[in-house]
Amino acid sequence: MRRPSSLAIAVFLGLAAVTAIAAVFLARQVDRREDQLLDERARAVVQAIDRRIETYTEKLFGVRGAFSASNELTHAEYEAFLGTQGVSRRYPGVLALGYADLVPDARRAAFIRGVDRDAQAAGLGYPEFVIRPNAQRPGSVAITYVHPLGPNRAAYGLDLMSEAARRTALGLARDQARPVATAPLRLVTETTDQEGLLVMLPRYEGADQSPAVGERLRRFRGAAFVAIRLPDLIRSAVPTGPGLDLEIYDVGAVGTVPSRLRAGDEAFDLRGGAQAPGSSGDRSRILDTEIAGRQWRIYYRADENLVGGGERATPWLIAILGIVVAMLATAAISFARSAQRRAVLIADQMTSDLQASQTELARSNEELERFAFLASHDLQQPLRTVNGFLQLLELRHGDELKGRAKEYVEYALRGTRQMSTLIDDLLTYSRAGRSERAPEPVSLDRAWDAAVEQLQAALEESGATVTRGDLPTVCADAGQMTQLFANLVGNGVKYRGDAPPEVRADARRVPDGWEIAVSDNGIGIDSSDHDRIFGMFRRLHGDDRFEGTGLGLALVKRIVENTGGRIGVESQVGEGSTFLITLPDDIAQPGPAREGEAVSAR
Amino acid sequence: MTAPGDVLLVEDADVHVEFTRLAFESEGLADALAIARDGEEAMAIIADRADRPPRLILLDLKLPGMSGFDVLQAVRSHASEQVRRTPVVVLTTSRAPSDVRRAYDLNANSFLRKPLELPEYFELIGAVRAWWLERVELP
Repeated sequence: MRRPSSLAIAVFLGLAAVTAIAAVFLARQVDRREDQLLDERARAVVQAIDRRIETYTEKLFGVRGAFSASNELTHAEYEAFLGTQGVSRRYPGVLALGYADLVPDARRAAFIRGVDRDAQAAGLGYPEFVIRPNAQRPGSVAITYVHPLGPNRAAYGLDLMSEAARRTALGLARDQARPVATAPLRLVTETTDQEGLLVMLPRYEGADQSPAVGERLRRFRGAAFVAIRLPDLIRSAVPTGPGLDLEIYDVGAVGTVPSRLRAGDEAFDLRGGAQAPGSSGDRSRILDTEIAGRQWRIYYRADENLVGGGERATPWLIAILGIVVAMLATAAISFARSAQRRAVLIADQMTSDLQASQTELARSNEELERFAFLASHDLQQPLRTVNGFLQLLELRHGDELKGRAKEYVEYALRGTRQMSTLIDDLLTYSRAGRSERAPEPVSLDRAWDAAVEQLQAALEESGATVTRGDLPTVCADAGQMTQLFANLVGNGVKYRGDAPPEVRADARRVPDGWEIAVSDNGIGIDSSDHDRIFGMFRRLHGDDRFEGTGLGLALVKRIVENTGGRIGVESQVGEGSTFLITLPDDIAQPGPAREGEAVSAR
Repeated sequence: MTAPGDVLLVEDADVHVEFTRLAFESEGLADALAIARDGEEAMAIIADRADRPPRLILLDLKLPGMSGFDVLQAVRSHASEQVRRTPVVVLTTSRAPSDVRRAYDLNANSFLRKPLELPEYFELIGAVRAWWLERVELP
C-alpha cells in the first residue's frame, strides 16, 4: 500500500488525540466517581459503626437508670429489664450488657454475700460470686450483673480495675462522667476470648449522674457496661464484600494526637501492615472518628472496582471505537487520496499518451506525405515505361495487331493515363502540405485569372461563364492559390447541371479576415455529404458520370488549411454550390480599395 | 547541319531513350544522337570527344549514380570552356519547383517536362533540337 498522505496522518492523529482526550476525561470521570463512591462508602461505614456504638451506649443509660432508680436492683429484676429486649438479637455485636459495682473495701465480704444471695435467688443459674482475678484487691469494680449470662459466665465477678485497658477506660469514665470505651481488648467469655471492647458508663450515688468534678470519685458507685464483639459489630454495620478491606485502629483516648499508623497499634480485622494511603489510583480512605471517648482511625480500602465494569470499560470502549473510527477515516482519506492520485496519474498518462499519439500522428502524417511524394515520383517512371511502349506499339506497329489486340492496347493506354493523372494529383496533394516557399503577398485577382487561363480549353468546351468581383491580396503561396481556384472552377464546370456552367468569385470582409465565396450553378451537394466531400478519394458519383481522382476538394482544403484558413460549403442538391474560404486577417493583405470600405494599411 | 554525336542524351529510362531515338530517327538524324545511360558515361563521352564536344545536352535528372544535377555541375565546371558553354536542356518528369530552381541555379538552359504522349514528345524533341542546333547563336 502506498504511504499514507500527510492529510491522512493528520486526520488520524487528530482523531486519535480527540479520542485519547475523551477517553482520559471519561477515565478521570470514572476515577472521580469511584473516589466519591469510596468516600461515601467509607463515611457510611464510619457512620454505621458510630451509630451502633452510640445505640449501645444509650442502652447503658437505661441500665444505669434502672440501677439509680432502685438502689438494690435484684438479678431477677435486671434480667426482667433486659431479657425482653433481645439484646444479642437486636444489637448485633453486643456480647454482654452488664453492670459492675464498686466493691466497698470495708464491707467486702458482706457485699459478696449479698450479691451471691441475690443471684442465687434469681434462679437464673449464676455461679458463685467471686471477685476475680484477685479477690482481695482493694477498690475493685466487679461485674455483678451480666446479660445474657450463658456465654458471659466467665465475666461474672470480673474486676474491671484489675486490667489496664479496662481500668484506664473506667477511670476516664468515672472522672469525666460520660461513656468511655476501652482500647481493643480480649473479651472474657466462657468459650474463647473474643476481640472487642467495653463501653462503660459510670454511676454515681444520688440522682445527679453528672456531679461536679470534685464529687465524682467520692460518689462513684459502679458502671454499666456493654461488651461489644468488634468483628460482629463491623460485620453487621458494614456490608462487607470480598473486595473490601476494613481496618480499625484505636489511636488512643480522646486528646491523644493521632500519629501515623503503627504496626503495633491495636487493630481490628487487621490485614497485615497498613499501606500508605493516598497514592494515585489507591482506593483507600482513612477516616478518624471518636467512639465513646476514644479516637479511632478507620482504614477503608476497596480492592474491587466500585464503579461497574460497564462504566469502567466505557473509556476503553471509546478509545477503541475512536481508534477504529480514526483508522477508518485515515483509510478512507488514503483511499480517496490515492484514488485521486491514480486519477491524476491516469489523466497525466492519457494526456502524455495523447500528446505522444499526436506527435506520432504528425510524424506519421509527415512520413505518409513523404511516402506519397516519393512513391508517386517513383511510380511515374514504370508507368511511363508501360505507357510509352504501349504508345509505340499502337503507333508504330498498329497495323500488325490482329483481331481485338488493338482494342486491348487502347484499354491499357487508358488505364495508364488515368493512373498518371492520379499520380499527378497525389504529388500535388502531398506537395501542398510541403510548401516550398515562404508565404508572400499574392494577389488573388491574379491567381484567379491564372487559374481560369489554365482551364481555358475546358471552359470553352463547356461554354462556361467565369466571373469575379474584386479579390484581396493575401499572404500565401501563389502557385497554391492558383491551384485552389483551378480546382474550384474545374469542379463547378465538371459537376454541371443542364444549364451552361457559371462560376463566380466574390470577397468580403469578415471579423477575422477575408471570406472568398466561389459559387457555381452545378448539381449541388446534399447537406449530408458536406463533411465528406473534403476527404481524400471521396467521390460522391460513380466514375461513369464524372472523371476524376477524388483528390480535388481534399487538395483545396489542404491548401486553405496550410494557409491558415478554413473552408466550408453551402449547397443544396440542384441549387448549385458555394464554397466559402476564410483566410485569416493576420496573413491577409487588404484588397483593392472599394467604396465605403476602410482599408487597413499594412 | 548536324554531325554525329552533336546531341548527347543522358537518360536511363528505356522508354525515353527509345522515344528520343525515334524522334531523331523520324527526322533522319539518327546519327546526331549519342546516348549515355548514366552520368559517368556522359562525362566519359564528353572527355572522349574533347576535340568536338556535343552541341546540346538533353539531361534527365533522376539517374543512377551521378544525378542529373551532378552532371550539370560537372559540365558547368568543366576544364574546357567549350564544354562549359554547352547548352544543357533538363528533360524530366519532375514537377517539383525546387528541382526547377536548382536546375536554373546550376545554369541549365531550359527545364522541360517530358510529355506523356508520344506525339507531344516527338514535337518537343524536334523543337528543342531545331532551336538549339539551328536557331540559337552561340559563341
